[in-house]
Amino acid sequence: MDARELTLALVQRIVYAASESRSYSRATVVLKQVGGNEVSAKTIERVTSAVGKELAARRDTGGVDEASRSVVETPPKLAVVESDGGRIQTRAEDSPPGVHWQQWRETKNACLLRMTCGSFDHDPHPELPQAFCDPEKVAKLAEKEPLSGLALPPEVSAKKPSSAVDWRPKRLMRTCLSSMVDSREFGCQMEREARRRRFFEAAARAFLGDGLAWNWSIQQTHFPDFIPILDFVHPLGYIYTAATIMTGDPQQTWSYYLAMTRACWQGRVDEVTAALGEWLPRQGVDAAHPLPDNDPRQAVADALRYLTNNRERMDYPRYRRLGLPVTSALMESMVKEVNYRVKGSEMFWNDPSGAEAILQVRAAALCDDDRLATYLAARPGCPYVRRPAATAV
Amino acid sequence: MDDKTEKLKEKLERLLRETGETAAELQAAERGAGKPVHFSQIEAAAHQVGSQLSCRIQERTVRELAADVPQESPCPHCGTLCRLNIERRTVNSTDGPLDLWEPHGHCTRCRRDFFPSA
Repeated sequence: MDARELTLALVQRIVYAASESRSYSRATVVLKQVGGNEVSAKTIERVTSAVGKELAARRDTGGVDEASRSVVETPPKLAVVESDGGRIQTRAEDSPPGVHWQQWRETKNACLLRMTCGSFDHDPHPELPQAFCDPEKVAKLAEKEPLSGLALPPEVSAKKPSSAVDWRPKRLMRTCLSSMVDSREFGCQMEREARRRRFFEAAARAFLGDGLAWNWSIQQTHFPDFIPILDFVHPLGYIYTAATIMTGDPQQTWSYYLAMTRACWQGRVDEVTAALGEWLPRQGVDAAHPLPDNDPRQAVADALRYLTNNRERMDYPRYRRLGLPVTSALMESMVKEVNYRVKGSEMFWNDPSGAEAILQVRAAALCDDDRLATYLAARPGCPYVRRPAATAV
Repeated sequence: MDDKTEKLKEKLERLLRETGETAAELQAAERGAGKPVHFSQIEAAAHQVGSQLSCRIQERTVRELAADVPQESPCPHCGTLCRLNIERRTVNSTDGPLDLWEPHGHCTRCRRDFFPSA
């Protein structure tokens, strides 16, 4: 039992309520109305922060022993590691009440997925999926306004169900990591988690990310024999934006987008880079005449650079034949789940310890292996009135 | 399962039945004859009895554990053997506040209190 005023079971309720509610004050409502426990927001904050710091200390000292794990895994058939950045608002620690030195900081997030795995003799889905042929959905994915005055192609307006086999791997078990540390340290955390879950013994291994450089540094340093895959949604966004610049009217833009995206989906990335590479000199743009940053044609140069830099991670037909995922939708989903708790216009976390603590608690709560409940059930007591700050336990 | 455990289970079952009957009678007496009642009131009152019972069990069990603690314990910091006193403190549980009796030491060398049961 905790050395002070709360039993283990109550601590568990408090930490889960804090992790799953938007704020500590909403957690008080959940605790009162769902559990019948009257606990102040300040107590919830203090307990959650202490547990988060313990989780961070335990992670850093490698204190997650096999005996404390609720699920002991066999090596997966398909192990998928995905990483992405997030954002969090912080304030200076040890400052007077209020928000001081507020700033946006990047968080690092990763999910490690055991997935179903099939393999195919031929590309199981050579045609561009319907979702990427829907102008409204595509505009949303590219974070752009929908094309106005576009006559929908018949196959989109009919919205026929696809007859293609569902080749996509399915999630079996997910564990999550989230932290404020830099990418070098985060890569070590990811590798430790992957080793615990025996991902390096998996029959098939893949690493997915967007174009962020640190994703691929981590992949090359810690997961060199995982197949690196660029999330297909990201080049799609670049291509869509480039198409709006390269063409005059919406119909032409849409046709151009479809042709280039289909080429990427089918592994013909070189055709797209060639088309972009030919268009830019025609606009008088070359190494000797670079574009200013605010020139709209910069979007085309950006798309060309992005596709060229990531060319080796865009062999999508091969990935589909191997039964590997080609989008990091599950990672995006996890980032949204983390953000639900930590990101908001009025949410500020002490930098770094408060932010790190809530990220640890939230990430642990999002894991499928009940690691947070397992830890809280066996949380060692403290022989003193006050727990020493974030001791490794 | 040995004989003692079996007898204790039977006793618990009998006492729970009696507790249920007594609590229902108490609810009815407090409500007054012929007064309408909503099920939520029945449920809340029953739950309160359950929580009280839970607290009693926890208090009793911890008291027994405290009784078995030796009179002295080493300080967790410096290892000096210190005398232990059994003291009461209030702890919040999921079923409400509990009064627990537990060993409490004071290290004169570290000038610090400690709780060996933690």
